[in-house]
Amino acid sequence: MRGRLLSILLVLMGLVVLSLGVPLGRSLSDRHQQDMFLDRLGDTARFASLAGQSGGRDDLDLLRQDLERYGEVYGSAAAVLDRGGGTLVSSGGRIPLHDPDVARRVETAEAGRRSEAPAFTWPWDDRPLVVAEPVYRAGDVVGVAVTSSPTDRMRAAVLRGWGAIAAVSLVGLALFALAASWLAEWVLRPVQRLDVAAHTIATGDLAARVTADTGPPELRRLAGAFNEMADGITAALDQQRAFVANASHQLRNPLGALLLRVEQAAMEAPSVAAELAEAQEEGRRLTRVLDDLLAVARLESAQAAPHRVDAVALLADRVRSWRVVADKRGIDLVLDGTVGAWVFADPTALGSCLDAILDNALKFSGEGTTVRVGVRAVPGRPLVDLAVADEGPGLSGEELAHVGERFWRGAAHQNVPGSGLGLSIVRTLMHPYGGRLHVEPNVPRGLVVAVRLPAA
Amino acid sequence: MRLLIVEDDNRVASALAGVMTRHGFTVFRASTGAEALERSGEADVVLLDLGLPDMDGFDVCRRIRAGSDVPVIVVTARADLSARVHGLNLGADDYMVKPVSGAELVARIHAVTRRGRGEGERPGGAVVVGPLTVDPAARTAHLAGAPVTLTRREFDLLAALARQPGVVYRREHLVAEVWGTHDASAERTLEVHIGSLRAKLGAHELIETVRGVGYRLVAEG
Repeated sequence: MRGRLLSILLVLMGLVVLSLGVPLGRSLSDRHQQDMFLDRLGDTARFASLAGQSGGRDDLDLLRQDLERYGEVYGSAAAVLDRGGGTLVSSGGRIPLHDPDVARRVETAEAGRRSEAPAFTWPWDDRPLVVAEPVYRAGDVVGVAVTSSPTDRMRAAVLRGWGAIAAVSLVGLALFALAASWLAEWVLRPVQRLDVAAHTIATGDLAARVTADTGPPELRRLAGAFNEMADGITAALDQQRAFVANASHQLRNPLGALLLRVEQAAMEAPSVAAELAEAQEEGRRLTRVLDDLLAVARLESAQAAPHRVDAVALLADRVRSWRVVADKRGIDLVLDGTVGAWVFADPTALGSCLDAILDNALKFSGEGTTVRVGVRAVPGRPLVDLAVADEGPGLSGEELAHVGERFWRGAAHQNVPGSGLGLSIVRTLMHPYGGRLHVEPNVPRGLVVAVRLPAA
Repeated sequence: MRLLIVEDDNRVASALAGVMTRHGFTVFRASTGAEALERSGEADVVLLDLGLPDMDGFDVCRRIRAGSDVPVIVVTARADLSARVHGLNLGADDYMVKPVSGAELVARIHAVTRRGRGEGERPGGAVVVGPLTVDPAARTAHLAGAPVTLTRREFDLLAALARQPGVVYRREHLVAEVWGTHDASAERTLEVHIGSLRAKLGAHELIETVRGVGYRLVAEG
């Protein structure tokens, strides 16, 4: 963006400088050529007039002396030709009479017309300036006076002028580039800040805001609007969390009263105690759902402190804790296929995730099955899976897509204890670290549930 | 045993009062913090809800503790760890998150009152219930002045019931305390022992069965 903005501004400015500098240079060179031409035209006309007045040999000698002096002073060659093209008098310098341009000028003069100003010539064109004037005697053209002047000094002056123009243009461009770069910076800084803030918010830190004290007013307004939007989103999320927390809180009182009533009824009427115990169990299930909801609401507002964590050590630790439960259910819980890996996460949150996944795996696995747990590198990508593979009933392809949605439970597992919030909590917990819940069928049967994290 | 229920939600309070009355507690209520502070002196145990209309529940807890040693059990919907820690730090003896189970609450009430008596009192002086005198220190029981011969289990059972005359002890509580088990089949054994205790205590209806709950010693006979 910055580069593009700068190059657009610089190209535009370059065009402006060119469109001013080129005509200026052209007019400078034209003026120098014009001056020199007029100067030489005057000299040549003088020689033509002298030649026209001279009749005898003495006059010609005088003219020759004149021409020679002229040649010495100006470094030019001058000559007077007769109508046949033969040299009448010469200063001695060489005149390129065979050059077609010079020949045409001589012919023009013989026809009685004056020399025209030469066309534009580049400063590196080192051909001399040739001027031819008709020599009149008694109204007839009797010869041609020709001067041929080197253009070195004129060309050097033009080049100097051009150099000055180029230098001024370059300095101007450089100053302009500085100004443009400052301008681009000024315009883009708020955009960059917006970008950083938006990214920070997207990665979970809702407290990020933009400082809107520099930049164009429009972008300042945009930054202000962005902050308002972030405030709005944060407030909405807070409200939602507060609602969930509040709802689960408010539900406790009626639920508590209900459970106590049921408990009392069970004491009063032992004949239906079994049914009432079931009713109490339902109430307790509802309580667990409330607890889990509250946990999710709290987790979402919690600020975790991620750092580099040894995935293998963490996993081994969780496996040790869950082995008690696994043994009780007759399930073989083994740690295998593990590669050493570090991940970037909050260890408590990651531990909770593994707990939820292991809890699920052990809940759905039958007696005598094996649950394999391991840290695996994802082939070809800088990711690490903390995977738990069970040999339970698994899930159908369609069901796999729903895993981790709040309250979703597999059709076959509606009667297993739990609220259906476990893996949703995993998703919530891992989201800030770029972690994802990865679920795939196990071979030959069962399910592999993994927390997929970027390797650190 | 007198139980003060501090709770502003009438429905919760009356449900709780129902269950607690059923367990033989004498229940009275306070629905504001001010009322709670006023009446806490009359109670043996205070059940305190933190969400009160007039003052902060923690504040009530601190002020009750400042004035007396009465056991306070916080019963609240606030489940967060910091609230639990704060409550216990302010002098609450226990902390329960709603919804509570009556059975658990009774067990916790017994636990905090047991603790509250302290070691000095524990073997304690003899308890007199009507014509019956039970002396846990000497492990003797007298009925109308005459000693009653009891087996070890029978005496343990009677001493457990005599700890809080009038309060209903749940069957599982008695089984746990006397036999040290939570096996449901032991409740048959409990019934047998209650039967033999009743026989030895004669015609006096000292041990009352509370249907669906357990047993208690009644002074009135």
